[in-house]
Amino acid sequence: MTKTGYTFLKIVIKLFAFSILFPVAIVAIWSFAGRWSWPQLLPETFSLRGMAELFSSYSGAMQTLGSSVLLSIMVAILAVVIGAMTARALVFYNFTGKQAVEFSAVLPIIIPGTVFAMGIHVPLIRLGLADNIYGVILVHLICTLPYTIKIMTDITKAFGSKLEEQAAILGASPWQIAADITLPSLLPGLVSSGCMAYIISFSQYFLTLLIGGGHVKTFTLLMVPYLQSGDRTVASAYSFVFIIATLLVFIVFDAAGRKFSHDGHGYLFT
Amino acid sequence: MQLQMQNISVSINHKPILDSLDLDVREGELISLLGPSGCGKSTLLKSIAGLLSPQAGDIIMDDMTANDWPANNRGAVIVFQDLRLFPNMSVLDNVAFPLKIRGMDKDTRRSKAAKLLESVQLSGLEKRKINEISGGQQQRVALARALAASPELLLLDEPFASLDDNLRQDMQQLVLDLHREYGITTILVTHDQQEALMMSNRIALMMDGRIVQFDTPQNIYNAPACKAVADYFGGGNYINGEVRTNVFHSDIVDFPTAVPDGRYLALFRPPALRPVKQDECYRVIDMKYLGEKWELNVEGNRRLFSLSVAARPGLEIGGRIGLDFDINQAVMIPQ
Repeated sequence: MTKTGYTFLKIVIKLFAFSILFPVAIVAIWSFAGRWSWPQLLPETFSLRGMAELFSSYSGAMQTLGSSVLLSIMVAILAVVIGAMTARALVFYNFTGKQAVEFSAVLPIIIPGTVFAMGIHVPLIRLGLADNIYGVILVHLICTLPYTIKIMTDITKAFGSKLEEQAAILGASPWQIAADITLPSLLPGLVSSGCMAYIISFSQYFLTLLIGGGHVKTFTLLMVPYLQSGDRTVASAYSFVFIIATLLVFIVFDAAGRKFSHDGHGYLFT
Repeated sequence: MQLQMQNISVSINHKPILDSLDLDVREGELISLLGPSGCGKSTLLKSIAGLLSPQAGDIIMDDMTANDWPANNRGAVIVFQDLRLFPNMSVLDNVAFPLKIRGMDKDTRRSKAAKLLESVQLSGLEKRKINEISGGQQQRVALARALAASPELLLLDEPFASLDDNLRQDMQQLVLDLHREYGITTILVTHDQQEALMMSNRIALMMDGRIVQFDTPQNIYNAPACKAVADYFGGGNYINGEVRTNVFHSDIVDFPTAVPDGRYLALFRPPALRPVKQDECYRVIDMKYLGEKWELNVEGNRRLFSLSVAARPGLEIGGRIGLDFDINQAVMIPQ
């Protein structure tokens, strides 16, 4: 690359970093702001009100954060497993109804979330899956699967079956092939589709509210009313924790991927 | 391993690729599977290795029917043309992979893999990544990895096709040396006639999903079963005629021969024809200089002939010559 090209690239990267980090910084400052009126560049007073709200026992925010993270990790793992297996079936096998499966896999993206939620609510009530965690996991799964299936289909297609064939004729059993060849090769895809599924599930508001019926509390459910009410300090405090929690989960996913990969490289953070 | 393929048919997407094919490979033999692209050579290899199941026929390995044996239990290892090295492993780990899946402990398999790398002259590259070594070196890694699986049958799918001439000769010699050293029954897929003639105990020439001739290099070159076989080995000047009481009769040349009576094509390869200065009824239409020889095309008796001569003949394009047919070099192809 030429020197000008390189400089240009550096500027673009810095612009991207700025456009992400600047809003995060503002959210971070707002979390501790007491009074911050226009056109002041910095808050006039600082306060721990947001933090107090977050960490107080009465709000239950931290407890909800914990269960919310667990719920979304569960959804992410299920979505990745189902997505990877579906992708494998779509890429390597021919079966009747293959196109129907392919099409229905993207349907949840096409149908607006509210329409989908209203539609699925009644069947879930009948099945006894409304107002409980299982129903919420199920609807989150339906929302996340299109993404994991799509990502894993592309990765599986790119990986192909050649290396698996080679391992088989060298004497490897199907389990050995999966452990030594397929999984390490698909890991980047598994990690990124896992992150994708996690963030979709973690930020889900309306579906969780409707299907969970208030019995299933997630961090997003606590956060959204503050965003709507205009209490910026508390809303920012929630948002800030939301971002940090997500980042931490991504780091954990990446570390897990690193542990199972042969070359010890991470995929998101190097 | 002794391998018999009996009446094998394979179709892919309803397109027949192998058509009632028979092949019989003896223990310790190195045979070449020779044929034009798309004739089914790679499909045959995959069927042998168990990556494809034939719709009909039997695969018999050491007198046992192996049709239903899974690929990982056949003891037949393919070295593919695209090598298929594992990119997430080092050179050493690639070679050690077959040993690892056989449950060998880490130290033993590493030292064994290092020895195999030594036998393919790659010592010192153990820790490299696959993308950090050259194409020729990758080829050797693939070969060493195949040997690590202690195959009873080694299947090489055009392993030298992508190499330049020098590397190719080195690799050919390496494969011959390894074959001598380990005595593994080997099937070498190639579309290069010279390679097949030079390397193999026997050559199976494949065309359109069938084996048209399976014989020693000398026999397949000197006694082709049909014109297609002769064509594949370069062809030459065919003269249509008939043998009656041990004499070949045609409108161009008559000569005594030992073959039974019947219709034959007599093949005179270009070096079997010599320009002479009598009966000058042929006209030179083309002369090409090819380094060690000259190639001439002549026309006469409403036919075209090609000759190859060592020294520049005292001829010009348009000049007239006679032809001497060296009947000792005539190849008789039954029709």
